[in-house]
Amino acid sequence: MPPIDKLFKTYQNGIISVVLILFCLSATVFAVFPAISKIQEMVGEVRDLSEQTSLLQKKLDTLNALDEDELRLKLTNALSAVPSERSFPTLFETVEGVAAQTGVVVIQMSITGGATLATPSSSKISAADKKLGTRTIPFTVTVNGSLSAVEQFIASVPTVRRLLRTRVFSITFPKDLRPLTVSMDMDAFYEPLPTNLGTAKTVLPTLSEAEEAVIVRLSNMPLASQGSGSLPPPLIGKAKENPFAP
Amino acid sequence: MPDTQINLIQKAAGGLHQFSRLEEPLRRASLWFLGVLFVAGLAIGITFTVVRSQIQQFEQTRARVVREINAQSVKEGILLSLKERTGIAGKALEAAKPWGKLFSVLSSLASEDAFNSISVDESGRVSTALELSSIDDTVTLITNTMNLAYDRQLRMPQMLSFAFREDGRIQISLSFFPIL
Repeated sequence: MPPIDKLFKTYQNGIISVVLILFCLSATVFAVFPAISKIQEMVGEVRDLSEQTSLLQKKLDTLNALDEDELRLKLTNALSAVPSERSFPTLFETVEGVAAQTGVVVIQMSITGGATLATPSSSKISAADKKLGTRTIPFTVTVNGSLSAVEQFIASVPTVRRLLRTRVFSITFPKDLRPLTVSMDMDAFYEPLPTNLGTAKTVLPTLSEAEEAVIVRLSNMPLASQGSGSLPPPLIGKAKENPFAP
Repeated sequence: MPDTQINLIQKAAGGLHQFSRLEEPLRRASLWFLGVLFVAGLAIGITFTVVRSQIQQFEQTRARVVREINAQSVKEGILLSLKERTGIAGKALEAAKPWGKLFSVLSSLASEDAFNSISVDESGRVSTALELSSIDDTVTLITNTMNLAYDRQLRMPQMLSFAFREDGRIQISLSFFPIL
């Protein structure tokens, strides 16, 4: 009998035990430890998924609690105050409407600053507008009227829902009796709608108290334009049948 | 008779003999190792299955919630647009100064007839030219201006020009920043 066979036969039990121990050790190193590490990873994944699901559920609950019609109405009001396009017709109508309400006569009105006819999103925002935080259409308007009418006109301009601001104005008091002539440099505000609304994972914003106050203020502002009742509804989620339609 | 001895006792085998003494502890140890490995494997298997099923459950829930959120994307879009639009409207409202209040300040300065012109520049400075009939009116105008400044209805009042005409009338121009 060769010596190796003899040795194996003699110490068979011990050798098998050693082999088993080595197998267990290698199984621990190459299988148990990686499996524990993998489980740790998976537990982390469960934690992340739990947090994500919880946040998404909260977002869904918030969305379910919102009234779409009410939101739509608020957005329509906000869009009538600051439209998504230049909307020259509503601008002229608003100025004319305020003039009619206050008793002044618009004798001249012109758009200044070389307003581009490109789509609002493609037009570059000026440094002044960037500082202001919104795009503007500068225009000049000259009106005639009594001092009280002019005073009312100037006072009413920032209170109508198509938001306007008076930048510069000058009143000349003629020697003879009135009417007065007022020349005003004004701005109308507009801002294109955001094109990126985010993904489902995007955190849903909440309206702050200040923003709610602005919404209430806007809804309380009168519309001075004649065609205000036919303002287009917001187009979010709906495609225009005719993209070239106004 | 020759002196012959037969030794039936097994010869000591040195190191190998030591090994034979370790066989029993090794056998026990190997059984322990196997047992521990089996228990660990079982525990790992059960934990893996449980955690995997939890992951699947969360993934299914997440997918359902995402689907439901996507179904309300119009509402979400309106809310996002409303927030953005409200912020812009807030800035526009801040930028629009209530110039109507200026007239109450002007009426506190002098009577309507005294004013020749009023102008407001980009910085919000109001410049006004007035024609007054007497020195007393001028003193009243200056006093009124100072009082309005003390009352914090205007700031930085300045007299830009003053002219006393042959016919006794006085031309004066002032500038100030109204606090609206």
